[in-house]
Amino acid sequence: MSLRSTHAKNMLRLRLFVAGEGPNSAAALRNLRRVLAAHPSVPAELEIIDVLKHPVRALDDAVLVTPTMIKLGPVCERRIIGSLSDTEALRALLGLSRE
Amino acid sequence: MTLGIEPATELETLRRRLAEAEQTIQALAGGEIDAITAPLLTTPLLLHRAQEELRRSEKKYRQIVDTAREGIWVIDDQARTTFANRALENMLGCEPGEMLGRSVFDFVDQDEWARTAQGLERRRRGVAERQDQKHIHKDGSAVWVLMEASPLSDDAGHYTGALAMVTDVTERRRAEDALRASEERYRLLFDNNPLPIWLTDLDFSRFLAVNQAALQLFGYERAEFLALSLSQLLSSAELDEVRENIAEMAVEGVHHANRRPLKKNGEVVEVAITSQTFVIDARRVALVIARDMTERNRLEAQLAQSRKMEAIGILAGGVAHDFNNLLSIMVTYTAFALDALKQGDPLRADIEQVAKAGDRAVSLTRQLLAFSRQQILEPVVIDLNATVASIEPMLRRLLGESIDMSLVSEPSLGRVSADPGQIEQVIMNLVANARDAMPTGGELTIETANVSVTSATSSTAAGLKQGQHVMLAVGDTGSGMDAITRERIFEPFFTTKGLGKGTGLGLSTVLGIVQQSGGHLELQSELGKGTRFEVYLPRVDRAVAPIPASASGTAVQGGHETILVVEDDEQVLNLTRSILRRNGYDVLVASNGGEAFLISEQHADAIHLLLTDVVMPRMNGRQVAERLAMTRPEMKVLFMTGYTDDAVVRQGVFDADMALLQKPITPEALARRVRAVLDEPRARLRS
Repeated sequence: MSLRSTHAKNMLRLRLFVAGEGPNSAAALRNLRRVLAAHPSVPAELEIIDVLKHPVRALDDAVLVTPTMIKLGPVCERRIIGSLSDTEALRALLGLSRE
Repeated sequence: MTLGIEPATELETLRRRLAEAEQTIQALAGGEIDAITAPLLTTPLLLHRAQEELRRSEKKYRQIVDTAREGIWVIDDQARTTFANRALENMLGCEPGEMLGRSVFDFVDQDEWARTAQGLERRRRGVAERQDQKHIHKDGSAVWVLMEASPLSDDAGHYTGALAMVTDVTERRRAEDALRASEERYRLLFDNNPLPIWLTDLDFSRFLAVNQAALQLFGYERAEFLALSLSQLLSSAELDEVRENIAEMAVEGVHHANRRPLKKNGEVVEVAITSQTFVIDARRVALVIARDMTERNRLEAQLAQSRKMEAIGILAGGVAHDFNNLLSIMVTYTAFALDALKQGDPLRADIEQVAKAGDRAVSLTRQLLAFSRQQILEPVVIDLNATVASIEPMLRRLLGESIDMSLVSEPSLGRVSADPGQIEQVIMNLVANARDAMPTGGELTIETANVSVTSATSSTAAGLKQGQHVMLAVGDTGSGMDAITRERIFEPFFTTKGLGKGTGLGLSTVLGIVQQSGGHLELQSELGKGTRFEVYLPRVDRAVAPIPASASGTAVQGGHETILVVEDDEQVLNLTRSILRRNGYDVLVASNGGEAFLISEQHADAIHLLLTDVVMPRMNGRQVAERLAMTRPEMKVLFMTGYTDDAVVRQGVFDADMALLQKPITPEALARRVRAVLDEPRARLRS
């Protein structure tokens, strides 16, 4: 999925903290991408941070466990932990309705 | 959180935070966490990681093990299967897991149990090895595998079993077996081929292979042959030729040649070879197939020789036939002229010279006919010892004083059927030949023996038929003959004697007489070691015929009977009439059968004798005689002939009870024979 920098106001800005190729991390990324792919009209920007490579970034965002996804915007910041296997919860958090 | 925040919004925020916390706890409890990133940890603490790696690694290996084409087999220290991969199970036709717990002996072919047990024992001692082993598929078929087995042990070093990598080599094995069988077939083709075959390196440094037939041909053992160099097998001239041919062989691939290699015993063997050049292991080699031509070449030479002799014989016989009539006239009128001349007449000496020359010409003609096997033989049963004894004094005179003659006679010698006069001629010629080979004296031996030829010995004397023979040998201690002379010695007009000393017909005559008599002549001679001729005649079981008292020497008696002469040659007819009239006979003449019948009808009185030529146009002498015999049964018949090739005379041997006069006619012989036939008790024509 391509990241888009236009429509800054409505854009979903996401940050996913993973631990290497850990199975839950991989599953979280997979699940997130699947949901985003289901809403191609929603612009989104996803930053993936491997805490094994960049542990300081985890401290910066006060991330204690991986995988953790932070929705930076729009509107307020939201966090979700785990493999993102609960698709409904993920969709609700991202403010995406069924299409 | 500030006071400025809308209560409703704040509540909403709190709810969200609570949901997040719940979700976080759920995620933690559900094991959806990979790592904890506490502020104090410099590296994140990974959860499950080691376990996961292990699991993944195991899965990876399991995948490798299961997808491996080779079988993997693990057994415990009791040889029970603790692990078998899919490949191994498939190899042995087992279901997944079916092999577990079962002993290796359940899968190994019974023939291999002892070897397997020994292998396990070596594993127990820590020995790893690879070996072929025969296993049994669940369907009962054989599975050949290559096992690479290594022992397994625990940390303390105790034997815990073994691990083996198993490769199915059944196909390879089958291919090898097929190859072996095919090689075996080719080896059999090579080894048992009746043609001699060998394989040589093209630089001819050595022979690479040789078959049984070749070993037999050359008389070598295999090891001996393979150690030979070509120079031991060929003469140097041939060796050079062979080396020259190598270049040609390289270009053409196939090469044909005739060679004369040497056997181990030094004998030359004539072979026709076909060699094919090709490459084995980057070396150019020639496969040589030989055919032994020795016997064939010998037979061909023999055939060519006998054809030559036959051609000369036909030529000589033809000439002799015409000469006979001419000589009859010359000799007869010369005799008439001598009769007419008084003793002391100056012409007499000259005419006597003509008569002598005529006699010699008659003798030469006889010899030519003898050689060409066209003379008339009158065989009777004789004892060769008696024949030799009767001419012994003559032979001694012939040999002179410088040659000792000894007779070695077999006392119980068998009888033979032959023309006694011709056999005398044979002995005389052989003795004369021996004498000429011993100009400074020597020893001559005449030997007789009974010889029995069975199938086992017949090969040693080529041309000698199986059965009982009587042999007469004449041996000398003279100069002997070389191979070239031996080959040509029986050719007419071939002579080793000086010009004018021999006719070159003596031995040709001997050969002709012996062969016409159904016999065989052998020659053994070596330069400087003398010569030995052996005459073989078929033995007969009949009593010796009484020797007719020789009439020669006594005066010729004439008569007054009536004789009808039938002869197509006018000159011979006149001659015959003259001779008979001079002897007092009444002579009627006819030049053919028709005339003869007419004369017979018109002549009222008796005709005592029919004297007829055998070979005449339209009706031959025998037919004339038979026709006349119907009206004149008491009439006697005497045939004249110079030639044997006609219907009356079969195979050159006249019927024994027919009276026959051989041309050329001489006055004395004719008169004597006519008188003898007239005096016989009864007619001798057999119908």
